[in-house]
Amino acid sequence: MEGGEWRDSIINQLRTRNKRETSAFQDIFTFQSRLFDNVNTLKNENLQLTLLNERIRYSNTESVSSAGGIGVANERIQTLEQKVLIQQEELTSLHRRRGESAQQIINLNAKVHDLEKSLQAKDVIISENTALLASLRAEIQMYENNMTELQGLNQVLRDEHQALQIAFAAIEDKLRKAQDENRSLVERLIKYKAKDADKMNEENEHFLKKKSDKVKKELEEAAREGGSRSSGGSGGSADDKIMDSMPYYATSLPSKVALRFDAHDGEVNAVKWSPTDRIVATGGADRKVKLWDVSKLGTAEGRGALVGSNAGVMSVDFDSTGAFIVGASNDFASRVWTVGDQRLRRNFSHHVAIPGYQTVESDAANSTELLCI
Amino acid sequence: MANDREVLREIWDGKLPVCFQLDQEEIMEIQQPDPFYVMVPRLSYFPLVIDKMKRHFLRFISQENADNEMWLDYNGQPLKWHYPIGFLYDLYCGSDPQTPWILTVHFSKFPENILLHCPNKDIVEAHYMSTVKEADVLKHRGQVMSTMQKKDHNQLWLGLQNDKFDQFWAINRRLMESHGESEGFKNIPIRIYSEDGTYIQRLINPKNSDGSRKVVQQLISELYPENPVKLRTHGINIPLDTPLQWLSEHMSYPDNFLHVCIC
Repeated sequence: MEGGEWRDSIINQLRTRNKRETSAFQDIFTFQSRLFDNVNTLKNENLQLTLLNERIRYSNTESVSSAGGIGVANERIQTLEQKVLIQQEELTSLHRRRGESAQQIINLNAKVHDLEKSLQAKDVIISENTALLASLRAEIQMYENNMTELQGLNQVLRDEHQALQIAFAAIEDKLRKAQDENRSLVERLIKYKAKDADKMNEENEHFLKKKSDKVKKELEEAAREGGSRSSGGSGGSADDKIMDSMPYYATSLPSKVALRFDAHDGEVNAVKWSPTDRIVATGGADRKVKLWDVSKLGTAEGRGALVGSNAGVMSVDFDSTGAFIVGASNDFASRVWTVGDQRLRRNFSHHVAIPGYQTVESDAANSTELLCI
Repeated sequence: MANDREVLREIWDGKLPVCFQLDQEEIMEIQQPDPFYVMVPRLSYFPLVIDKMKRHFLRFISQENADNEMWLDYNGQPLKWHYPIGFLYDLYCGSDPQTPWILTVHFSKFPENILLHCPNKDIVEAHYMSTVKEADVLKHRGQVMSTMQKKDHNQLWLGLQNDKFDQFWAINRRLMESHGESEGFKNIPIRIYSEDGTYIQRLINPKNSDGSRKVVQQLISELYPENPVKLRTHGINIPLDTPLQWLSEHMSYPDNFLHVCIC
């Protein structure tokens, strides 16, 4: 802490200042302020008290004004008169009350009347309601009866339904059995049919064999005859005779190709002239039989391709009328087409005998031989 | 460092007895109002201590003036509310002490060209804080105030407003510390007032050019070389050999300025 005369002087001056200005007045001022507050509160209190006093005084003057007696008797008379007055007032009020009561009774009577009326109306309503209730009950009873009946009926129907279902099941069973039977019968029928077919084939083969045997025999016979003739020793002269007896035919070899055309997409296996028209039929490895119009010189006009073979066609032939054409194929089958509309008419596979075969065969005897090859 | 607690306490405890009287022209009641006596702290400001007095006098004035701003005068001289009360007393009654100090209360004819308006206490606080800042700028280039928080500012103001010595000095001591390598403030915040109320404020270094401490005597001879004056603050004459640094630390008003009167 710094010090010196100046500091002492300052602190002394400050102390004197505080003593002079503060301590001297502190107490007085606190006291004064307390007094000041007190005076204020007292003033307020005084004001309130004055107000109160005023009010009390006012009410006193009212009460005092009624006081003051002239005489005792007078006072008594007055009081009595007052009493009489009060009594009379009471009387009139009672009268009034009686009148009011009478009016009230009348009103109440009217009300009772009204109530009775309403009661009656309610009674009527109640009776109506009971009647309605009874009728409704009866209806309910009826409906209940109805319902039981219907339930009975329903039961019967259900039973019937059940019985029918049982019957149905039985019938179904029967049906199944019948179907089984049917199936077995059909199987048997098929078997028999197959047998029949085999038999017929056999017969056919038998017939063919017989026929071929016959032909063979004839050929053998013919050979024997020829042999005997040659063995007769006059062979050379006989031959000359034959040669002489036969007409003369000039023969010449074709030297020039008149027409050349590509007929098939492969080998051409067969070719045949139509006996009637200027048409050539060719059969090729491309499984087709084709018809060619060669009426115009130098050109071959395709008349159509007959399809249906499943392998290369090896041989073709017309019938004598030129209406049908037969083709033999490598698929073990021969087929007959009509030339006019170029449609497949017959299909012979494995030489199964089919009715109508004979006719075709007789018409085209040459082709049958081809088929046999 | 402001560590002479004895001096600080004596200054803080200084109170003035004041007697408020309502201006005769304002009285609208038949009954004369009683004068209002009160002890006011020298370091405080008038707007902070006159609430009760105002309530007391409001009863006696005309209703149309009741909402007007109140102002005070002493011997016809309007009192500026933004100076500390003790300084106003020193300025106007320093040479002729008057106890109690009799002031006149006015509610009308506000002297617009002399006084600032003061509608509420927030204005006083704003003025006070700005003065503290100005002083801090002079002393520490404003470093101390700017590092303080809002609550420190509040504590400073509330300490002053509620006359709490410890609360106030807990903060104010930071403003009175010296910063930097050199002992002492950059400049001393001091205002020297003439009797007519005008003041001079100069940049005054607490040290002489040779580094020794400057005392009051040197300050006076610097400012008034022809006419040596006496300086007065807090109701006392300042001894001439008091160092300026110590004076600023211990005898500044709460706004951190030395308000000194010539007498």
